[in-house]
Amino acid sequence: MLFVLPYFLFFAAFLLWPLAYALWVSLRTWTTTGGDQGFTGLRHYYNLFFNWKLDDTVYFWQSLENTGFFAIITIPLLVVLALILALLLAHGPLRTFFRSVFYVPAVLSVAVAMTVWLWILQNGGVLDSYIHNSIPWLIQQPWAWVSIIIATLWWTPGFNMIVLLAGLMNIPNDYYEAARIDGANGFQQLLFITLPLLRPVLAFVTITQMIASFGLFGQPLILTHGGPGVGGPTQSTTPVALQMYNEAFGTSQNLALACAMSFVLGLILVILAVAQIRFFRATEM
Amino acid sequence: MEQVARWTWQRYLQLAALVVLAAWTLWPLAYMFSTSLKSTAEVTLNVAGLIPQHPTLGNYSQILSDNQDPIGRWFFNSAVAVAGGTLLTLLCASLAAYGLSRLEWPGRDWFFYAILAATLIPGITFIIPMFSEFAKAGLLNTYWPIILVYPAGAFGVFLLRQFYLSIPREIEEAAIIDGAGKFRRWFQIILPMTRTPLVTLTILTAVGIYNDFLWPLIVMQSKDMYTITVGIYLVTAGAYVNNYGPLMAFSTIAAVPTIVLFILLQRHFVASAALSGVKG
Repeated sequence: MLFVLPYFLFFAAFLLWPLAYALWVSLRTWTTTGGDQGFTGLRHYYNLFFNWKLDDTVYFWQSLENTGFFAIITIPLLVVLALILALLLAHGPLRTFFRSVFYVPAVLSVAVAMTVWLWILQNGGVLDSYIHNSIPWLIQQPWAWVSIIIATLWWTPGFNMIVLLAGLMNIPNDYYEAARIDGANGFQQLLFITLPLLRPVLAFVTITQMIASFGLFGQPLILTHGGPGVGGPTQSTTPVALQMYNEAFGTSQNLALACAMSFVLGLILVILAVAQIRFFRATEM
Repeated sequence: MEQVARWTWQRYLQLAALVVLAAWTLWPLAYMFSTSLKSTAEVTLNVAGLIPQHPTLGNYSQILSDNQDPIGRWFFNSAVAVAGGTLLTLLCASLAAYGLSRLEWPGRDWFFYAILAATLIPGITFIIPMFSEFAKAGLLNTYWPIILVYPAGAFGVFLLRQFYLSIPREIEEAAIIDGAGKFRRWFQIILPMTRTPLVTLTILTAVGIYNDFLWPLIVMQSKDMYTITVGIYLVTAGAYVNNYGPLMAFSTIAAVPTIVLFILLQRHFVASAALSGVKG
């Protein structure tokens, strides 16, 4: 037990304590600069769910909607794209070489990856000069979302690809041999052998991708600054992580409300993760 | 046994698809590097040219000698975080993994499940209370927050526990007979036997800390304490806004350490990702 103690100290200090502390702060009136001003009960939670006259409430749900939109688009795309890459690699030529190439963007920080895309998508940047046209990639919808999603599709499929590839390589070749003898074509093999046997790996990839997609922050911060939009702290690509950051450290300095937001968001995500685990379990044959 | 594949038309098609995807993966990086070698004039005149007409290192010398945006200092700060955070993570994770796999104690499995459950809670839930925690302790804008929070991650514990579980009991039993205590068994038997996953964890943790963006952005308040990722964001929106020659030089310099590390030690990156999936 002594062995677990050092880890437990960090676990307690930076996982358990922040959770408890966030809950405590969210029940009080507490601003980032003004400090603790006493107990207010469930006021912030009430405001978040029912008080739609409050700007902060509107911005929170709007930003959650933005992040949710991004997640709904990118989770399937990033899983499917990674699966296509893995399938192409699995028995493809020069596997090791291409695998490394596809993984390279994943070793970059979001700051580097998005700065490069900022240049590509800039007004008069690389892409514009390719197509001899000026498209408002970063400053007008729907282009702003298209840009964020394309840049993300470039940046992150590497991890999923490697996990799926390892899963594919674990499927015994005999299964495919047997299927071929029975006259199954490539598509049938994919549908009836590969996908069912890959289920646990797919489940893992989908859940980690969900957590990653809901953490959206750096891409809109760097590419669009959360915009474009018509004024106000919440703009059309502001993700919920950025909104919470603004809530606590921007103009409103409302630390307690930001903590309540953290809690509501955390709860929603845990429910979604558990639902996914159940879904993958329930559909098991 | 893998058969030698025949070069059928399907295989050529497959190769073509791989080449196209590889080109799509590499072309933004090609532009990053090529733009970093262009003069300010050429950046605007020769946007799409992949090969600079008059390659120059001007952008690099400009940003390296810029005292307002001290890239050297930012590298140093990142290095401190990487060194401190990785060392602590390795120590805590390997000790905990040993305690959770090779030793019996009441509540052990319960504790393991608690860690497992905690991984479902997304990181952004912790960011704001952790900020308050460090603010209260008066440790904002110091190295402590960008060193101390990383060992709390559970990935290392899971990864090493997997390996420790696969080591046969007999090896340790021999050492017990020789009178070796728990700590010596961990240090002299288990650690040397699991060198490969330790290296894997080292690389992954180091790259993760080096690339972290949100956390250092929140806790660092003065320019001289920024890490390299925060620094790049700062110059993108600040001194070098829309000045893509120097910005691409910045990006290239920041990208080089992880890309070189990846090229040299790819198998560790691949192995760890694969393992994390099998575990799930």
